[in-house]
Amino acid sequence: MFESLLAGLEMALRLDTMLMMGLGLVLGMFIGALPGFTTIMAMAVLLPISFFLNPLVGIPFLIGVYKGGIFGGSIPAILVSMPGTGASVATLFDGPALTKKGKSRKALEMALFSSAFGDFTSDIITILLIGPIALIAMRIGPPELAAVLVLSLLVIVVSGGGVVVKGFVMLLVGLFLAMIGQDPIGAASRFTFDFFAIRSGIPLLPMLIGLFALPEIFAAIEKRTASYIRRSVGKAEGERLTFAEFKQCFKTICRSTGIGTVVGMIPGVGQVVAAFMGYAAAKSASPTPEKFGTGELEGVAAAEAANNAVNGPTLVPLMTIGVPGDNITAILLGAFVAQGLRPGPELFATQSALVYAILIAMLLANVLFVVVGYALVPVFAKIVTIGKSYLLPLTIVFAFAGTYVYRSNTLDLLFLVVFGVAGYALRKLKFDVTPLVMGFILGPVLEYSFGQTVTLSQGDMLGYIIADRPITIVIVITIPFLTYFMWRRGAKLRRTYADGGGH
Amino acid sequence: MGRSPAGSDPDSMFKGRLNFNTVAGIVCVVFAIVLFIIIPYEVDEPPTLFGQSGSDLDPKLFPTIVAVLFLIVGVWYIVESLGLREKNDFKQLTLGNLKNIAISVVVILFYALALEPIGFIISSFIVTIILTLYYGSRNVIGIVGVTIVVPVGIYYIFTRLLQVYLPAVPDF
Repeated sequence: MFESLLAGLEMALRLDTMLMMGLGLVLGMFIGALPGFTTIMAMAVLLPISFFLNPLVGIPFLIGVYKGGIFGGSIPAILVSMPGTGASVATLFDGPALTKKGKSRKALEMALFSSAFGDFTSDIITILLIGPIALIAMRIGPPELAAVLVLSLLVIVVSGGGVVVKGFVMLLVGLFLAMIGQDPIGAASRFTFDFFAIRSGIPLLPMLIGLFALPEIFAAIEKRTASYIRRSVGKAEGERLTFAEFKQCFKTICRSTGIGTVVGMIPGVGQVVAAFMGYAAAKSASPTPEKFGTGELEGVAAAEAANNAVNGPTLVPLMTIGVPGDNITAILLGAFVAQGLRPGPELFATQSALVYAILIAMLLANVLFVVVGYALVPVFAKIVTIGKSYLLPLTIVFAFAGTYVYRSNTLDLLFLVVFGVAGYALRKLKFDVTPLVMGFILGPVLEYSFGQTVTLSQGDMLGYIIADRPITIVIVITIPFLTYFMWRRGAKLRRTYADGGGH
Repeated sequence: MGRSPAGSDPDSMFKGRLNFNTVAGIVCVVFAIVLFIIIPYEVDEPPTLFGQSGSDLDPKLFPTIVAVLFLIVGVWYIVESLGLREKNDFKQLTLGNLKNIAISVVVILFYALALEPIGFIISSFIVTIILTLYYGSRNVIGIVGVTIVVPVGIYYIFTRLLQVYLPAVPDF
């Protein structure tokens, strides 16, 4: 394990990796800073670029977009009270109030440093923990994997926003779509209706780009206005952040980082919840809780450290058992799969140096993150006013080019359009597409591991599991409890911050 | 996300009426029934080798489980929907909004079908110029940037820097 860590370090120290990661950070911050353009959208659109790069360059590039985007969202949240991405919703409590007081520069810098600290610390924890967790994951066989997948899917559904039953509907739709084509074990054809185009199943890439990039475009197209908001509102002003102020908030930042790290490792919970939890914890620990919400730097720090601390740890379930916890990691999974790497215990066993190299690149990204952020925040503060009559066509062209180059197939473009329109309609009807994507990605894995379990059990499933696979029973028993717990927890958070949600 | 803020609309008129969630629940149940009917026809038998089935798991099992779950979740959804106050956001769209959406859908559908036959640069130019003008942009530099520089730039990124294939102009 330690050797692969060292080997990974050697692999990660490449100039092109650093450059592309820096570019990813800039692009992520830029897109995240635009209200109405989300991190997920940025990643979906930029995903195809990574396909044609070396994995050690392409994947760090996307990770840069991820980190940059989550931070970038806080810029318009602070300046114009419009979260650039869902993750920065909790920043709305104190960020805009600080801007009103003329302290927007302090707020932006606090957001930057607490984000970077949260990111860096949680990445270190991720690197330290991922090895031991992968060792455990390598010991699990098909029955345990099947149980873990069922658990993950349930947690993703119940902890998503909105009405839980609608999440289940989406999950089932995803599971159904995944069945179209061939079954993962015997390759028997299913639900193809003798239609040649879907004989090999529905492709993942057009689905991801269609569901995550195009609906934003349609939403913006509804109203035919040329730009998002009135000009000249975004500006970083006032004094810079002092070290003393950062030190004052340090305890809060550490607390939020801890919360974010734990939340990130659980599939399906995500940045929004972490930011709210970090904020709530800081408020209740503060001697002056009544000041929160009136423009406290500590409030910005609490939310921002927590949401960025989620980023690294979301890779833990992805890399060790192949379960993406949210839309963003689903896109990262798409990037791995396109490179011929399937995240999971096997990848860790055969290519642990590569996995570590990617994680170390992610850690180094934080250093670039501070530099890029510090230099460019004033620039990005201005772009919240950029015209969308230019950006939307650009996004469409990029989405189409990226989808086409993957397989040079017009059919993929049609899938892209269909998923784009469907994603837009689902949003209008208040369905969250995350469970759909998760069901689509994990459904075949679940069926495959279940099939292997059946084969291994040689006809006596119950006896086999009780005698040889006791851990499966433990997991199966925890499923209802953990699901119920996450459900209640989610419901409570939604009640507390009823108007906050959104991804 | 999800529940809309209460009290912003006379919601009481929704009571007793069929809301879109109930309809969606009914669609789930109907879909479950359709699945039950088509599974025997649309799921092949696993290929057999030397008279033995290639796998121990029936390819019909998972589809059947999903169908059963669709039925259960559909019924649950219908019951739950009676108490839901979510608004169908489509109803808030004006005819003008819908027209904007419809035009954009037609344009990008054209894009999907035209990209291969007429090439990436030409189709991108047509699509972006329609959309940019439709948005009301009249800034010549901006329009040239979006309709010509952007497609050519993206073409360059993919074909030169990433070395993959995009049809630039029609193949004759």
